[in-house]
Amino acid sequence: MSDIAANYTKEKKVGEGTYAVVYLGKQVKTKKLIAVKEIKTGMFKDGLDMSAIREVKYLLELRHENIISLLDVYSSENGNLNLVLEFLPCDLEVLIKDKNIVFQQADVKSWMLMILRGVHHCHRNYILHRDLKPNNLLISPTGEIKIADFGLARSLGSPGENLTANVVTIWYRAPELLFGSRHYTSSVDVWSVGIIFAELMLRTPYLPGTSDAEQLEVTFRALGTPTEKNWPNVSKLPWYNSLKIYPPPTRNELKNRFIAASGSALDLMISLTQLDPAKRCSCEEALQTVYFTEFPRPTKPKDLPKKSS
Amino acid sequence: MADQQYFKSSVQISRPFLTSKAVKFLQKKTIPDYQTYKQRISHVLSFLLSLTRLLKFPSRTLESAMLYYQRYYLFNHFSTSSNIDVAIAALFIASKNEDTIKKLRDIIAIANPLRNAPNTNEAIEENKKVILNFEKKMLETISFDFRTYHIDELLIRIAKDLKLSVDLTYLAYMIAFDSFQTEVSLKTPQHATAIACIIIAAKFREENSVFPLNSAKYKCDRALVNEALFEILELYINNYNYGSLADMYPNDKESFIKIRINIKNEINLKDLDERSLLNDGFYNIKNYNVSDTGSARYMLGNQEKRFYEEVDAQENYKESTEPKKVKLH
Ligand SMILES: Nc1ncnc2c1ncn2[C@@H]1O[C@H](COP(=O)(O)OP(=O)(O)O)[C@@H](O)[C@H]1O
Repeated sequence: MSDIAANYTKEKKVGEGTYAVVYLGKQVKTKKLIAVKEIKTGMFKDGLDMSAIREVKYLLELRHENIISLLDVYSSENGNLNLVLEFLPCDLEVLIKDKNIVFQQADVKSWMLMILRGVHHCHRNYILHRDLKPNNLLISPTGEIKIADFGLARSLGSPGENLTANVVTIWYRAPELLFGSRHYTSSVDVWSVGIIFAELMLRTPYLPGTSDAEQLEVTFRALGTPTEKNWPNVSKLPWYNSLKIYPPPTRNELKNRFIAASGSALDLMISLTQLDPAKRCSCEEALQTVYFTEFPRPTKPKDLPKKSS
Repeated sequence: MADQQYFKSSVQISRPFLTSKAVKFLQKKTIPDYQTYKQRISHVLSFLLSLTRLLKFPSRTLESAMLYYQRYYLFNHFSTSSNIDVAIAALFIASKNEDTIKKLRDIIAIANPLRNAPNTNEAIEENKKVILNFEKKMLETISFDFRTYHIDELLIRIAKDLKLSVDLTYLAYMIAFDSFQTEVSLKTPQHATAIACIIIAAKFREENSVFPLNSAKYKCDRALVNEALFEILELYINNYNYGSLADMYPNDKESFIKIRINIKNEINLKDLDERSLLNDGFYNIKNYNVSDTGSARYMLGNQEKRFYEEVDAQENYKESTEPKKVKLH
């Protein structure tokens, strides 16, 4: 047990990520639970990890109820960097996989509302998350969704600036990224939100490719192959070639796949997962669709399903 | 126990911009010979420019590196024996922060020939250790504050809005590049610097249609623009040959003196007095022992209020845990 100054205690280890060890602790004054992410550094790591830089940079500035709070930044006795975060004991992936829990439509709506609000807050601050997926959507003890893991985030590039296409876990990766586009926008996050929406309804990953090549196949089998007709200039993207042409799904086919979805839920999912990024809706537009105003009302966060054990 | 830890920890609040007086105050403690420091900075800029070109980094990476380099020497002793290593560390951090990362090994291998240093495997490994050590100190010096804004991006947007000619915009852009070796980045925000570069370019070319230029339209205080104007003009007046305009306009140093005289009258720069600097722990030379043996906490300037609230709360807390004296009558 070691302490970071007098303000926080650092108790047991709860997890280990690619560039950090995560500990459970308390804020001394309030006894509130916190998580401390201790960043590994060292010679073989080439100094401070870029993911840590991004996390500090963006989380220090973003403040929103659906984005994880970075409470403090410390360097500890051994010279390592420590990020003090609010403690979030659960994530959306855990709930999706927990087959003892039943999701009501109102629950899905509530999660979608919180996810879109958090992502919208990033986008209106010109920040792209670039790694949205259920296990980066953490859940607070009171049921609120908190977007976490800004290790891949970056600010929206200026026109002409090249961005790397190698972002987002492949199941949630937008088609422009699968084609190797170096100039993309916040619509890559919108796509991920659409795929998460589908997963919440299906209770199983919607587009689980096993390789980059197969991901293209899986994505277009489900949503149709983009062509010059529905996505002008798509054939100029670096990795667009020799594609098998699948027709876009009819509304009826989608209805049969997402049996429980209402008409407006389906409409929203279709706008979130438009192949052409220019046609995909923004978070703001998504938040203003009838889906969120029609019945059933979204479940209150505190009444949402919780981990069963 | 709790008290002991309280004394061991230190707080570093990041203040992105300082007044001229504060910068002078700090440099008096860290830089034994200011003239040498200035010469070196011009050399560092051309060294990092060559390195940036070979590594294909964009100019924003160079801009951030120059800022980190200068910020480092506000709080750490300057020495000509290590300033190039510090410059490489600055470029390395900037490359991470600007999303243009390269392996440190590769950066060193390209830097070594430029600085006439041996480029063997052992030499690179040795140098890597030195630079990573500087990286750590530099990260602490900048208080892990990775917010960046770039003069040229803002400059181009403002130039477009003002409908400046491509020619004039290019000249302003060159002035912005020269500004990397001035202390303007320590003192004024980037939009003020961008506007100052446009003003200098327009005055130099006598393109008076640009004036009056309303800086408030770009959410920029006129006083900040003035500060930036002086800082940049000083480079051209005192060290014309260090700037890149000297190549294009070898005989025009006088114009810059005139520009300064003409704007001097409008200006009345405010500054902190020395006493408030002496009493503020922020302006102490960096003591890494605090973060070696205790812990250091990093906050952005916009959290300063929160920090003082916490200190107040702590005082109240101490008071409330003191045994209460019971009045007997
Ligand atoms: N705020 C938090 N509250 C509770 N547990 C957390 C928190 N952040 C991370 N963890 C735990 O630590 C593990 C590693 O976190 P992280 O370093 O963010 O993972 P990764 O590198 O895989 O993204 C997570 O899987 C999770 O179990």
